Amino acid sequence: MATTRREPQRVRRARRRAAYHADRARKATTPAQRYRVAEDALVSAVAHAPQPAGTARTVHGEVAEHARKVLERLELGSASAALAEHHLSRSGTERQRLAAALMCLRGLIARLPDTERDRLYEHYARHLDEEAHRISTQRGDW
Amino acid sequence: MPIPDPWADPDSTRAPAHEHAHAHAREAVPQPTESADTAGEVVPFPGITTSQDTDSDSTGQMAPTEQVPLAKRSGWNSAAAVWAVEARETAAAAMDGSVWRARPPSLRDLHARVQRAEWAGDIPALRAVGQWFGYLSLAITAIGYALLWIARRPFRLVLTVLITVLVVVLAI
Repeated sequence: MATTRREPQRVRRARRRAAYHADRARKATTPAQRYRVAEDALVSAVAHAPQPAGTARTVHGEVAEHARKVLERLELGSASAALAEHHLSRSGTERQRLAAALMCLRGLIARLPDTERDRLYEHYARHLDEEAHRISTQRGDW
Repeated sequence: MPIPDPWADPDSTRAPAHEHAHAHAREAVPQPTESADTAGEVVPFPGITTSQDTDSDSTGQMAPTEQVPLAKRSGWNSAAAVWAVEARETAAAAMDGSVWRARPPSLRDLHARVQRAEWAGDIPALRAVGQWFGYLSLAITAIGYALLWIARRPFRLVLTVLITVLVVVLAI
């Protein structure tokens, strides 16, 4: 009785990860939920990238820039703006900083008017998802 | 690839038609095709893969016990047929290299086999005796597996020997 030949563990892990996030994306009903799924997928993809720290630093810079743009539009009080800025420039590992920046961006978008908020959530969900896909495929996982 | 600004000119940020194909690219993961190999498929030892599965109404490849309804056979006959099939499988496994290649069955699988008692042919006495022996055999196998687990790494072996020596020395 021959044993079954298996795929490499790296491929199985990547497939399981993609299936998990695709399943969550399918279940997400609101734009905020879709953003949340894309955020988690991006953090996961960065964590499993060939150079996690370097990738996280690049993506963090980009996300922080977008969060500052949203912050400019919001015209928040000085305390709220300082808190957001603290989240964007907090210390920690690169992955923690990226997760904090994504969380901060989500919180800032939530303060926008409803229509604008949903539009931005959809916009970032789509592009963060694309970014996550690009990062997870750059090594040729599939 | 930079994330576009959501407040930039909508005409310039609108994705070209060809980009919609990438919008949900994560969901477009190439799935293994039906005809592909069965790599990655979870198959309980020593099971058969789905490509080898037979239809529910076809009994051509099944054991001889399935060809005639069990009710028409005497219990001893069906038990003997099952034993014959298992003996053939064991002989084949001994010859085709499975002993070298395949993993040993898990204790859970052995327990399931004892509980099902398919070799008993619905004879209560045979089932009782077989299950009694099955549980004894399961206990022996568990002890053997534990020994194998210890023997598989040098540190485990050394630690076990040390503990055993310590216990013996303290007991004397």
